[in-house]
Amino acid sequence: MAASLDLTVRRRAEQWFSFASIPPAAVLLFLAGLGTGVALLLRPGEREPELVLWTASAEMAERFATAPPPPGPTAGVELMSSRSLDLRLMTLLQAAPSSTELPDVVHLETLSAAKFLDAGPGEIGLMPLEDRLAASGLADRVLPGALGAWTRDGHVYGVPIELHPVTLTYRKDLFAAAGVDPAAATTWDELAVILEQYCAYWQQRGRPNRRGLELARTTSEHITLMLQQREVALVDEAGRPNLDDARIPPLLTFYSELLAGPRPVAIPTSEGHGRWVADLMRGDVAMIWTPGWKLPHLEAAVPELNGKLAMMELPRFEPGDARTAVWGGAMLGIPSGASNPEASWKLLVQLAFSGEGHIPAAPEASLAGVGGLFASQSIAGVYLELSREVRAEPMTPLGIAAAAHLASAISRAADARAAGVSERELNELISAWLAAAQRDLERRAAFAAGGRP
Amino acid sequence: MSRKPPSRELLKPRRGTGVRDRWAYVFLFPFIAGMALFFAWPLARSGWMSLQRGAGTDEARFAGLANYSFAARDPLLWGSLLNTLAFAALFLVVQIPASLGLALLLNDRRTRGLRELRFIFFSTHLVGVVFAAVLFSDMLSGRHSLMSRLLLHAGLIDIPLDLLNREAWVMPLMLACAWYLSVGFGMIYCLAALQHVDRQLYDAALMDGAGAWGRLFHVTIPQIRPTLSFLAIAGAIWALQVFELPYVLLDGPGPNYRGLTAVMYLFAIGFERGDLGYSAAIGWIFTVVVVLITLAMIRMLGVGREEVES
Repeated sequence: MAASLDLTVRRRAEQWFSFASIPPAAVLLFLAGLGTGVALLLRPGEREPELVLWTASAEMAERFATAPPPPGPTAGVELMSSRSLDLRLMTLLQAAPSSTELPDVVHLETLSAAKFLDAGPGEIGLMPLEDRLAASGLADRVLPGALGAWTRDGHVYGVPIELHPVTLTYRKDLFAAAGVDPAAATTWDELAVILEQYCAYWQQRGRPNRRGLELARTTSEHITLMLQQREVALVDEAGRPNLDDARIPPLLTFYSELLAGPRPVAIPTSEGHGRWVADLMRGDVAMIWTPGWKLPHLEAAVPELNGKLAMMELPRFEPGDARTAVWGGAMLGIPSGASNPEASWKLLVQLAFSGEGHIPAAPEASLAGVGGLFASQSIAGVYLELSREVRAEPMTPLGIAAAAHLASAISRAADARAAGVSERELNELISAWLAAAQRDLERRAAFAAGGRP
Repeated sequence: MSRKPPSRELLKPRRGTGVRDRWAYVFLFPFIAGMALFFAWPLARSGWMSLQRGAGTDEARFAGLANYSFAARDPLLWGSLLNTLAFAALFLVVQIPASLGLALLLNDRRTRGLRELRFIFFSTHLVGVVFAAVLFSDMLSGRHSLMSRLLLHAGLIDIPLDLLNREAWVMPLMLACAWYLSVGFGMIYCLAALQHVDRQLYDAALMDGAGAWGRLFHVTIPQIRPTLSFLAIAGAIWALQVFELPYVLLDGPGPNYRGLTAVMYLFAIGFERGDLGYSAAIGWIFTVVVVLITLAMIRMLGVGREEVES
């Protein structure tokens, strides 16, 4: 019985594996496939560049591609999403700080850089560059206020290549129709009155949904700019949170009054670049905050709004306040485990100092397409002038947590004001919320410090 | 002729060793190796990480239970857990009855267009979570949303709706999106279970004078209890792990952290702030919470008791 079964199996196997039954075309196809596979495996590989730049910015990758190749080692660029860049860099710095996988130069934006600069002494994963900047004489070409964002404990960890002072851009035509000129306002209180007149005018003409100013209701990006004007940092240089600063509650009360008071004059713009531009085009919001990086998106408003926009500096709260603030920036740095620091530095210098004059340069390239919107106003000149005045502060993970608490306070304050809570009561409520937030941040700061020697 | 039951000796697990058993381990090796490499090792590593401090590029240092001790006093962690539990509870309270209701409707032969309705209700499950979140955001909130435009056009509102920026609306919108995604899925399971209920039981119940509600509570639900239990447990685990939905819908934790869920908080701490040690500790705390809830549900729903009883 077993022998018969064995014979049957063997016959089946012979039938299945008989080459005679395979069509010649299939054999040829198989051989062709095999040959192609072998050829692909044996082909000479592309030469890996000796220096690599990591960036999440298509503009930076383009700048790299169009720059003349640096003398010496060959260089390449890896363009990836900012999240991917953050994760890959952090993982390598944590797990293999001297890995050859590390980039030689890295392009980081403010928010991304926060976690890379948050480490104990000697443990920051980027190389200090102040000595190289001084020795090369390039330090004088960097705007003094721009280095602050990348400086920690006296060491400079990045060369700033972008810095975005903030202005207000508004619909000149709509304000003119309402008979008011926002540029005449030198203080926020004056601007609030003008915005109120603007909204009242459009309400009388059956446009109650027209608001004067863009203000966020669930994020702290705009109030942070106002606080910067008043020189209130969410976290000070010593790493102490500052939400207990006495200047914050009245400012937050003022902010919620604009947003949700009995005569609201501000509203958040829609999410997404195309949409906030549409808000401006339709006149739903007449005045928006414009750091340089926002301007290229305004190209969508060309030619409809040609000559209808104007730009102004930020009004002040008090005479000593700054007339601008910083919203975003970027730098080039060198990971501390880079295999050839000299070559990395040369590549960095070539990318950062390729033009003439000071860096970060005014965003002229991004303004090229939108100049017609502002008629005869020289917006590049406005940015250049303001960028000499700004003082960029370092962003830290604790600062991000503080900004989130502030955002929560805005949301609660706006809801409370809309529900009819008086200004005085609201001021007290805000103080209580911020005190709780401050306690939480102090616990977090102590916890972070506890993990370090 | 009745079949002779197998002898007890045959049912006993064999202790045999020898060539065949060794081959079994050879064939099992790839799976065991995969499990060890991609599940057990990362799990053990995350357990070890949860005992270390060192955010960002700091060198990780052993810190004992410091992360867990901080977690015990972290209001954002407990707030996010509370949000998650509320979301999961409210999600299940509606999802299961709604799924059963739709299944009962489609199981009734008098309902017209059964195939079309079945497709319409189930098709929402084919839409990905991220896409559904974008869809809801576009439909319900913001100046450009469909709802705002319709209401403005009809003259019912003066100011566009801004629901996602309102604390009170965050949870209802998250839940609506979750129900939209999952009710059709639950309906298919319930429908399959309903079609296996013995018709004779309904006849018997009718003869005993049971009305529609009586048949539902005394025949239908007991008969499809295993399916409902499965839906409840699977739904609870999904809802407790919710992340992409609020992350995309609210583009962050939402007003006053109302949309912050436990997994979202874990992600923010680990990958946005770079504190992998604390993030791992949050992961373990959350795992314990999910396991406890699942075990409680298994006990409460009597999962597995049916087999023992039968």
